[in-house]
Amino acid sequence: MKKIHIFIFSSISIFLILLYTAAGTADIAFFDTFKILASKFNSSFSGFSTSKEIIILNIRLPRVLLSYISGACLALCGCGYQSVFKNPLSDPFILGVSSGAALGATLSIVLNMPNTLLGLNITALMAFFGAVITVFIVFAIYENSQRNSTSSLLLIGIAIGQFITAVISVLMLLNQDNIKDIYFWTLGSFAAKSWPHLAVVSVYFVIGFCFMMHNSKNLDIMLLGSQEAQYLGQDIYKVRRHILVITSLLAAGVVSVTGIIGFIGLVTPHVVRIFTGPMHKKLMVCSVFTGGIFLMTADTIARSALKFELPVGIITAIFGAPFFIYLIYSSKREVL
Amino acid sequence: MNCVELKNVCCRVDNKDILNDISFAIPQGSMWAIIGPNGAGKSTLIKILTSVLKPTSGEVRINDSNINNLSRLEIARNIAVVPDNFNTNFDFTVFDIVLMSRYSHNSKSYITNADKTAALEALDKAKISHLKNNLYKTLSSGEKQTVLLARAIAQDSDVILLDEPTSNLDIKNQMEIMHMLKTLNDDGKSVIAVMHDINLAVRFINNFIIIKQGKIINSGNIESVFSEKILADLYDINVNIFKDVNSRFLFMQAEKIK
Repeated sequence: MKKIHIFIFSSISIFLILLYTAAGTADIAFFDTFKILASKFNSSFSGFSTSKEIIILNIRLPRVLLSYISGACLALCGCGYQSVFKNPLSDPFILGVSSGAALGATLSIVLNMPNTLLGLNITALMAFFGAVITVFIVFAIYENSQRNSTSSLLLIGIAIGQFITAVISVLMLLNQDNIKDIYFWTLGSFAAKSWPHLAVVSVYFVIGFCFMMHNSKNLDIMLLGSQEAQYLGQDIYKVRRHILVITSLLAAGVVSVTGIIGFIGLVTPHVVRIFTGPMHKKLMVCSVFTGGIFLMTADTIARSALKFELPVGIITAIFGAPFFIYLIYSSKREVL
Repeated sequence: MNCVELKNVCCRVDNKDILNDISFAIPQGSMWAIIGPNGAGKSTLIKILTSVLKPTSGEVRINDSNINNLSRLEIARNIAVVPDNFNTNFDFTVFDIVLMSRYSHNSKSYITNADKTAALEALDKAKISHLKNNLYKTLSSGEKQTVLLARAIAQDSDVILLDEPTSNLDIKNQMEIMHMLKTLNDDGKSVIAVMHDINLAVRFINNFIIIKQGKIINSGNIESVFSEKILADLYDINVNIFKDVNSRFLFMQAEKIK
């Protein structure tokens, strides 16, 4: 990964962050947005109404940044999962993270839990614990099954996920008044998110990114298959467990804050791999930028395309799927 | 000192004895071939020697250390494996594949210049520098085998273990691979190759271990190992042994099946 590529990606990201912060339904002139942002560094730009400052600085900017960091996290998780499973359909939710988080959120909604506890959002907390507990149940079953193949882990994850989805359906049927809340939570959204949410997800991202970059050589070797990896000196079972635990925790952390946002973790690594090849150092850095830009763009469309806000998961799929199919058709390289 | 030593190794998989009381020692710097019919347990032996598979009983020693006391990195630093067939759908270049062999030598999370130099030297030694930027999956069988050998060279282990290195190769590529192995052995590497083609093996290798149904039925140098009776017992067909004008062994398979 050359420095010039990082510079280009960073420049595009900063430009789009500024551009998307200026976009929205509130009547704020385009250049006023930049002046409001600049007023934090230079007092000569101050003088805007408090409501405009709040919209830009406390609503739009943290939301844009949160969608960027969340997209980066999900793309990073996708890189890890696809390497461990060597499976093109692997995404950060394949081991039950999404269904576990949805169950946690559903329980908090149907049980009418208070919105906050000690300043923490209860639905997010429940979603996080739901995701983490589910992943650990999947791992516990896998470890006790005395099986080594990733296919077994994948199937256990899918089975547990389906089971939990059925439980959620039962809870929704028994609590039909809450169906809308539960359904919208599962579609994912960045509405009403602010700086504290961004701070939490940023911490997850920094830890996850450092860990994954430290393991980039491990991820490369894992793509060769377990036997080859062992021949080259990798303790594959230990490395695989560490990577899955960290990426699952990272995905759980993001999902608990944003709800379930599909497609990013599945598609971004595939798209980036077409251009970078399979070596993970380059792949992960480019995926982080691409996933961030993709989700940030999708969220901006979701909140400003229509008079009402669309769930961002719908936008990621509607725009992402055709683009992905186009890339598969036009690329000379195999996607996987 | 022995680079590899097996003492009474047994391996049982799914209630079936794959290896039965295998014992042998291979001195450092020597070149050996392991031969036997399909299903004799040769590939299992490679997995046991690299600790990919644990023996049911017995002891495996690598450079005088019990393999159970060695980490996977230490095993890889001692033994490099050239598999009989390795394919990948991922777009790895030849250089990527060879570079990955440096994993056991570099504990850092990034690739060092020393790693790159070792990979380039290995490509040069295997005479495939021109393939450096080619995608591995687009290569011919012979080129792939040479890349895997270059990977083993870059791994810089004392022992190179090969699983049927000449299978699926034409005569020219077979000879080139065997010449490369001979050169590596002359440079001090211990070479252990599982072989099917006995005629090819005897042209380059002097020491043999003969396995049938998970048991060693004979081992030693060419003169002491091969007889028409042993080969008939080994493959269940009649085999005639001749010597060519250079007094090298030639094996002629008889048509009559026992």
